Amino acid sequence: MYKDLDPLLHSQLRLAIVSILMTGESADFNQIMDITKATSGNISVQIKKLQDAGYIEVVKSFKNNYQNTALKITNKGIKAFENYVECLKQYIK
Amino acid sequence: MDSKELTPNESLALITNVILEAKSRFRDNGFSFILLGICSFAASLGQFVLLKLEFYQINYFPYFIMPVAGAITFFYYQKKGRMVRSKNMISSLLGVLGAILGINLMVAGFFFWNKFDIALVPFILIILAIWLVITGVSIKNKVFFISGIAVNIMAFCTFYIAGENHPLILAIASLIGLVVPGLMLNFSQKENHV
Repeated sequence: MYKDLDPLLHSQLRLAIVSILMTGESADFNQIMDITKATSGNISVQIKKLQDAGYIEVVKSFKNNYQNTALKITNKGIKAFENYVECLKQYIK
Repeated sequence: MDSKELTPNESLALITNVILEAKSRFRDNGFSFILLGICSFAASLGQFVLLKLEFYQINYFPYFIMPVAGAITFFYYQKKGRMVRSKNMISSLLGVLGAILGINLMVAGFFFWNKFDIALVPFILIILAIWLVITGVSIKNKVFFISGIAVNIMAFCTFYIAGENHPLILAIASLIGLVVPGLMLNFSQKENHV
């Protein structure tokens, strides 16, 4: 329906994840869960799609003996988000 | 929240809400403000008492507690940073700004106090006021903002007060500008965790 809108970002959860990453340097899996209130399984699937598209980077590490998944938006992701917002403006005009 | 497709208006609303939610998540228990405030209050009051008792040669000795407090704060946030779940721009910016201003205050106070003469305390208070106002605006906290304005006014009033009483002004400003906002931040953090 909305052909110009990036289909990868035009989904509720993926758009929320990218929006969170646009506000800071990095965010971790728990913070994404906290804000979106989505299930960990659903978030994992959407993160994988965004990672495969090169929109985000995923860094897995250990913090205090617990596994930590940190997410960071890439330049490609920033550009895609900016284009998406520009397209949105055209539709809303 | 699921992976359903959105209308443009829904997308825009979602972006706005998520960004506001993520930005408002400034998490700090006020540790640095309370520790630095108490140390600064004790050091200033100590200097005031030493001056009144005519111990002029050692009147600045209490301020040696400040680099120690600065180091404790640095290591505390270093350790906390390794445990923290996420970094956002506000936290990073305020951390860097606080470190730069803190170092400048210590350099001015320890090495250039004689150059500043009676302007030293007003200078310290103006720097503190700038830090408080920026912090207040960034984290949308009225207590920091109002404390900053109060400290800024005190800075200029200090010029009309005898130099020997300047440490007392600094002690009061430490309470108004650091300890009180720090405690308020601490209480609000505790409330959020209930």
